[in-house]
Amino acid sequence: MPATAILDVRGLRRKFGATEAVAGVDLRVAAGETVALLGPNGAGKSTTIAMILGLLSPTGGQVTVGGRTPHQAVAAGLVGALLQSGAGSGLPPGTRVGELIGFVASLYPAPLASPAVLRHAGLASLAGRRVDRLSGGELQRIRFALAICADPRLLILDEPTAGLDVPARRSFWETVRAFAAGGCAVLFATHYLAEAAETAGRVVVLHKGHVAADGTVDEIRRTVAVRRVRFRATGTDAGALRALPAVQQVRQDADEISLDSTDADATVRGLVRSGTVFTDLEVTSAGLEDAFLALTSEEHA
Amino acid sequence: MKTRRPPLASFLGFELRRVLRSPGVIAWTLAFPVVFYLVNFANKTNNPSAERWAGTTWAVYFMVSMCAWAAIAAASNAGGARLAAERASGWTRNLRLTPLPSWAYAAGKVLTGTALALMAVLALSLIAGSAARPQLPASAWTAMILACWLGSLPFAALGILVGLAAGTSVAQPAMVGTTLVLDVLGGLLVPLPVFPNWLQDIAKVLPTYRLADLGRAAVTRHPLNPADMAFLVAWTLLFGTAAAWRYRAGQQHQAVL
Repeated sequence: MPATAILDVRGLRRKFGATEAVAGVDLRVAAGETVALLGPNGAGKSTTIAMILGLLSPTGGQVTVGGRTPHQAVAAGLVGALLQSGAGSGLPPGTRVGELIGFVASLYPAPLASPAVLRHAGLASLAGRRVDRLSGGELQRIRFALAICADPRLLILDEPTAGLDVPARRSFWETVRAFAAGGCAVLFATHYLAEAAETAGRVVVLHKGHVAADGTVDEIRRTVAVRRVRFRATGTDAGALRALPAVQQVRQDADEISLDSTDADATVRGLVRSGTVFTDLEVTSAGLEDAFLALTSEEHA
Repeated sequence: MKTRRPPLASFLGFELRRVLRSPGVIAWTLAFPVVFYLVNFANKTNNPSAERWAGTTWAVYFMVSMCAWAAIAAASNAGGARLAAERASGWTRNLRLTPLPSWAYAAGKVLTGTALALMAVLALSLIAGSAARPQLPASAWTAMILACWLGSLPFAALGILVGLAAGTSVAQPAMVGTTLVLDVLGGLLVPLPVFPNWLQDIAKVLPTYRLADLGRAAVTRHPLNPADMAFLVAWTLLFGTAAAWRYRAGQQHQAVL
């Protein structure tokens, strides 16, 4: 890990009553790095983020952002965040877009100029509009604009594209990537594995309050030994396929058969020995999604 | 490079612009007391008996009551349904991610409420004053306006308490209901001498009565009653402490989605 970590999380813990939502998380993000935080609901993503931002105090461990406490980092404008707002918009009703951004920017010691914020967030044409009369994608751009007003060194996005349609989601990530290209580190939580794979250089998988995996998308994929053996065949019996060596799961769609195997070589040898007539044999590594599911399955607690 | 405005000043300017654009706020704090005053004023002046109320005419007595009403409605708007809605929408949490300290947030809300109260009292004095033409010296006017303005402080604190404690669906009725009960029992809509004695005793504890009493002392040029001020300060401390306590409790139980 480079010495210039913008975010340094060590042994972070948070208990809610008897349950420990975050149970010892270590996470470092280098200046300018983009990191995805993956994990199923309840893995501790939002709780971790709330502690990084100083919204919630940890029951153990510590967080530093640019060498400062979360509160100091927020006051200094080192960190900007776009959080999940649930049913609400996260914005004050009865405000114009430009006015809102001008106000939030004025709170920071060295903010981006309002026109630059509007341009980065793709809001230039909406500056005069009321925030209560905008679409979901437009609202998310405003929340993004508020997060970058400070000209932060670390941008935190908690499931920023939840509820957006595909074009809005795509254009949102283009906006984020363009801003990150200016040197701002980004840590984002998401459920969409494709977003993690496309946008982040590094993926951290959280499971039950622990870091279950931390690495590049390829590294994460390789942590899972499962390979996929696919072929076409007619008249096969699912039970017989399940009995082949190293097979974990059988999927059959008409004559297209897909086997999840922990040892693809043994499975293919067994398949040949069984005398099954097959065509179009293909062996591939499992996708990020499979790796994710394997890492966050119940046995992996 | 512009010099940076203090965050509190930025916040105050932002809040004032928003509140002045809200039609509901303007109706409740300005339109209602003005119309109510003019209607009642017309009724009473047709009455030939020149009754005296607390040492002054009905027109002046009732003008003070309506100034108090406007100040109370305006100040409680510092919080109330608006604050509850801002909490529910996630805006207050987003503000906690900016350098605006929470004391400046609370102070900004209180100052917005009291600034709106001052505007409402000034507007009402102007309209009621030109209808009733009370022969009041400028010092009495000033004292009455100052009394209603500063006396609105406990209601700003009450508004923040309700906004922090109530959910969006109940905040509006809770705020309107609470202030209305306090207004009626405090003798703002129906003058206190009409009440039975036991009810008058209750009324004299309430901040609404104390605020109006302070205003009436100003227009009748009686010395200001220290008990009025003591009661108003006590209510401010009570509501303010309860609001601070509610805020801390809310932070500890912060639900993380």
